[in-house]
Amino acid sequence: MTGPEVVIQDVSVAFGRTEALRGVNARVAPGAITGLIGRNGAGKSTLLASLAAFRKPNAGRITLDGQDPYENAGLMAATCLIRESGDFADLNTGQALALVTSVRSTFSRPYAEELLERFRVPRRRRIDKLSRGQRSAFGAAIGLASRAPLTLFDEVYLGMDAPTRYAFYDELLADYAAHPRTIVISSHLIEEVERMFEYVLVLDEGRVLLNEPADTLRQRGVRVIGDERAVEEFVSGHTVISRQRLGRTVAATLFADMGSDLGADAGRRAAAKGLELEHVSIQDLFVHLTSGQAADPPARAAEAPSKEPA
Amino acid sequence: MFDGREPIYRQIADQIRQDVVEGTLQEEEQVMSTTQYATTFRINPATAAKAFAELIAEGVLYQRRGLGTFVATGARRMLLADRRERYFTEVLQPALEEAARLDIPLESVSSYVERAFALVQQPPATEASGRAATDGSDDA
Amino acid sequence: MTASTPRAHVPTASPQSASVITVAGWLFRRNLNILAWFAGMAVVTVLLIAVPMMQRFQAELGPSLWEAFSTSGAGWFVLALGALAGQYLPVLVAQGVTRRRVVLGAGLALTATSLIVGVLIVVGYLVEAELFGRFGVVPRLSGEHLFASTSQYALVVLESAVRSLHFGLVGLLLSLAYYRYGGWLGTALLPLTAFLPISIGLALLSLDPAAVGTSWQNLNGASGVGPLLLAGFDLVLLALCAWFGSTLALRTKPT
Repeated sequence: MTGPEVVIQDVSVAFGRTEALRGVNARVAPGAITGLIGRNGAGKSTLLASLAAFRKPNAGRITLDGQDPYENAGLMAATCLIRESGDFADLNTGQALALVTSVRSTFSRPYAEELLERFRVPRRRRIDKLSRGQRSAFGAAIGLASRAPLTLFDEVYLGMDAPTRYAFYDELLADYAAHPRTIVISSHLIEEVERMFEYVLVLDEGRVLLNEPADTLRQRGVRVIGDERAVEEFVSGHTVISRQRLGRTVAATLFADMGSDLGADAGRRAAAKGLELEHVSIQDLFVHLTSGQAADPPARAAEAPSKEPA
Repeated sequence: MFDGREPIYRQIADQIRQDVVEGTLQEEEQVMSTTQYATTFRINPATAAKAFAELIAEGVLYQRRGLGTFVATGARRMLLADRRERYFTEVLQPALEEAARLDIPLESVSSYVERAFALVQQPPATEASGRAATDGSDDA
Repeated sequence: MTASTPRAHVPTASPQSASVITVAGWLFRRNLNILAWFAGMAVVTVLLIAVPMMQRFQAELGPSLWEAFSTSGAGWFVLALGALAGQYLPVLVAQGVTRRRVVLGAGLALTATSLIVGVLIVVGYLVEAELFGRFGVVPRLSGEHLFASTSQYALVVLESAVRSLHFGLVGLLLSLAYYRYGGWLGTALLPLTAFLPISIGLALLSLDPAAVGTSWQNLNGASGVGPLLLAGFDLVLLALCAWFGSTLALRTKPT
């Protein structure tokens, strides 16, 4: 356990009349990589900003190791949030490096320089004058090299080109393995990154939709395809989150665990009825769960990432 | 890589088991570290660690402090024994059930088994040394 | 500004948090860079423009030019530095420094900077006296000051430093208000965040008219209380900045 215990209790944040977060309850698993996924406007950035003490919630409590991080010197020093907007004002890369080196005790300047080299960030240029991708890469390098016990990335890599993104993922995993810490990566680009997640926290419209181990979530998507009647029979009693129809063929996406909800013989039962069972990726699951078309949206929003069934 | 319904850690574990059985991974040979798995396949190191934990509990792998994770002696024999056992319940049984569903008589099945079994027999080169077998028999 | 407290479970490594001194050091260095640049420009101006001008308008030489420039100019300059420090608040908070420490660090940096500015102003007077001397003129002071003559170096430094610091803190408050309220409201609040504190500050500084022409020896007496009052007011101002600053949420998009 090398990251703080993060507890988010009933947190609400509003900007004027817009409610960004509504009663969010969650725990972030310490020392693990958690993916924070949600659509644009779901509240991911606001949640991360609140964790990093960039802002104070309007209601509810956030605690890191039992204490409020807002204006808490030790906890703020233990947290690093990197946002796409890049919070560096008019500093150039050299000045920013010097600043972070003097102010963040966990920061490794040599490693940061290495990363900047690897991500091909031009040196001695003003950060706000860099291209979007270069700015993101700079931020990513600082965030990774900060080695903060609670490191948060708010969609940093979206502006980066593919080779730089992959370099970032590789470095992230390698450095995380060498220096374990709590990492939260927010994204709506799930496919590329979901294998790196140990836990997944899904936000939708300011609320927690799911908070569980990634492996569990990966098993929760099943698509049943076949004749309408057979499909409906098969899926009855389960949570259907989307239906697609083509003539008499229906594809119903279930939010159910293959093993525990459907049973070990599900494959055989389906085959017997002439139904096809397909795996649903986290990406697809996410799309269906947050599309607003969910027939029966999952009622549960677990507070702590549920333990993996043995 | 790593698609499908199986959790990634199970796929990794299965791959390692397969490599041990086939001889790609020799006994006492070191397996890739969890970090290497993570960076090679872009997965969370904990996922690889979970696979290792499973295999260590089974006795297929073991850890040497500070050095890494290695294939245990006797792992191959153990895996083969387990596979042999499961062959009947997981491979043969469903095949027989299917035969029953299709109304194939026992005689057809047994005579086929007798004929095909002999042809399918490979010289046991992979058992002892793991070297590729010099294929004496010509499979028709 | 608490350090980490003992926890029941396995404790996380608690990183050292940045101190007020560290923040002050970084801001001070940035101020010095700008000051050096500015001083360089001043030297160039003097050499290329002021000297030929003095040559030309010899006959009108008399009132001290440096006095006019340094009295108001230095103030506005340090105000700008204060505003700059405020601009870096989000940058520092993003790197794990508490807002309170940023503001206090800014206060410390501005104090040190103001002292340097004070010294530079003395140097300016000396240079001016030298240049005027070439034309046989002694520069004349026209305003109200703590010092009677510019050779009362300590008093010149004191007055200049205290004045500059005050403007610097106003600059800090200004930029914090702008950050919080945006361009429109920030400007609308100027009477409150800028004009009012400046007026009060200047009034306090010259509160004791007997201080005009006072020599160094009288500073501990009844006269010369202006700087002390202003310093006290500035402490209040700094506290206000610290309180206000600690309520600031970082914006989503950069300014």
